[in-house]
Amino acid sequence: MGKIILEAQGLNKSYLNGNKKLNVLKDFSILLEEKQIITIMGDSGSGKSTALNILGTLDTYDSGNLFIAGKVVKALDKTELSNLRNQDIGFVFQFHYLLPEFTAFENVLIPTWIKGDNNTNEYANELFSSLGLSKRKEHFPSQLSGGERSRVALIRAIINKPKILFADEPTGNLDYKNAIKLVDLLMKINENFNQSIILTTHNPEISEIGHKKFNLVNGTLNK
Amino acid sequence: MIWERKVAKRFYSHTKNKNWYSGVLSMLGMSVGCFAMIISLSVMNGFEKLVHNKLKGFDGDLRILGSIKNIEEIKSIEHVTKVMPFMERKGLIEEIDNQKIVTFKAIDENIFSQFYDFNIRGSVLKSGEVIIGQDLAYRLGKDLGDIILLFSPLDQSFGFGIPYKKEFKIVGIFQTKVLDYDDRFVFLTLSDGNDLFRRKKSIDGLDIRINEHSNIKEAKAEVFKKTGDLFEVLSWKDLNKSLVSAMKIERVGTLCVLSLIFLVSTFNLATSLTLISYEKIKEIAILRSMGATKKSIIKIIVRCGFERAGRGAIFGLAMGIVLVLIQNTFSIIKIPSNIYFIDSLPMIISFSDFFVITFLSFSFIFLSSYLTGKRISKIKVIKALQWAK
Repeated sequence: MGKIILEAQGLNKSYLNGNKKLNVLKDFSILLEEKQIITIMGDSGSGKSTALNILGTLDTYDSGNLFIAGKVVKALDKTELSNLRNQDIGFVFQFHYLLPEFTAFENVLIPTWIKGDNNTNEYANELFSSLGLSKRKEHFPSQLSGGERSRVALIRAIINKPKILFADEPTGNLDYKNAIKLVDLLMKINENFNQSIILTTHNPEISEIGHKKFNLVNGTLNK
Repeated sequence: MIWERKVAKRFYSHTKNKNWYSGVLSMLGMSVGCFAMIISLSVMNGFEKLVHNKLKGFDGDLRILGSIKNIEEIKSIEHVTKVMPFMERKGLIEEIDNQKIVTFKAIDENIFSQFYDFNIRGSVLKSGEVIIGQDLAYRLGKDLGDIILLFSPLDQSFGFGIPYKKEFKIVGIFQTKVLDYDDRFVFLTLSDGNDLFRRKKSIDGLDIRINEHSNIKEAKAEVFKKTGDLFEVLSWKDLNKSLVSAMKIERVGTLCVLSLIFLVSTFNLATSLTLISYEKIKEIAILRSMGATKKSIIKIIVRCGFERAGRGAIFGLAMGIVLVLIQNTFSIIKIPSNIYFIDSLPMIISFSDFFVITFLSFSFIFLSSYLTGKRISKIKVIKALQWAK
């Protein structure tokens, strides 16, 4: 068993819809080890994004326990939580969410600026070159194709060498060719950088890349 | 460069065209506010200096109260340039069926023209002659060369009950346009004063003029050191305490009223920043998801505020100073000289005023941006991302 990077124990999350309580996550438990890929498959509305947002500390949970990189998430104050997000977590969203005001290269460097690390240009260059984007560095997101944007977003997510990479339906907005390319990249990153990944998808083919594969049905996680 | 500044600059320069007017309005508002503040305080300073000079021109810079004997010793003080001994008495001017209450000021006629700095029509003062104010002359219906009858009831002889009266020829009419001086004062020579104020044994004090570059407080302290506790030493500000403090209150009032322009433009700035923030809400949420703290988001909004309104404020300040400089060099704004004694609008801007205006405008910008930033930073990342999809 590898080093535990993330552990969720019995997480519950509900929303109030008028007077009606809507349980989105029910007793959600998961264990992510170093170098591991976990895929969570589920239909739209099954709670995949909510689960990922909670695991990625972007959303709160009602009950249960969440440990990331040895830290109890609930015990962290706002600044510690921001630092955790900046240094230990990387996010790839379904929509690339690149900042349109910045070039591809600058977009990638933003997490390092937030960290206060100004010596990552070389590493960023390496990543751009390994993902075949060297010539697109100075382009703005609007000048990039969908696949290129996703790859830039992927570089941005790993630039700070996070312990976990969360990918929320990263291929959801891509054509088949680009989707396969991105999945290959995720596997390459997992192998080359020992990157732990939690990925959500509704595509059974993509879910096969996981060392552990789960199904999320109506907020309940099944193997 | 601090990353928040870089992000703020990009956010500001990439704001969609549909919100351009709100940015221009907040810039313009701050600009007008700063410009109005600089101009009105400069004009106020200009007129204040005019009034101060007139007060000093009439009363001198310092006054020693008491029958001081060693005038030469006072003259020898480093800061002192001129000394005018005086006697002052309330008295009456008698007309055929009327009496006017005035203040007689007996002075050394030999240094009258060197000491006093106000407009006089007529000739130099000699014994048996007086110089009266323009308003008093008008009230009495007198002009140069006319004779008036002066007497001092305070010096009335109790034995007979008839005060000593003396006729004087009007040889000068002065005009200061300060307070009621032109209606109140009658200048006569010290020898005539001695003659008229029979109960007075000596002078009432000395009016002192100090070196142009001397500090009034230092000069006052020096004079006080020479005179000792027996005499009271007053500066022209002490003599006109109520007027000086009224002017100070007027200045504060002006600052407060004109700050309302800032207040209005900060409302506009807050609206403008809220618009930018909602336009950039997705980007703000992305930054938060990458680990940017709420503090950083506030910093970005505050910097956006300064990019917008700060430029306006700097432009307004610069324009104000340029106008003051142009006015002082070319006197483009004229005013009627028969009322103000000067033919162009006086404008003086001090460093402290400039600092206060800059501080006020930037404080308003900061406050407005900070509050907007604080509100925006509280938006939940997930909601913002979902909203922006």
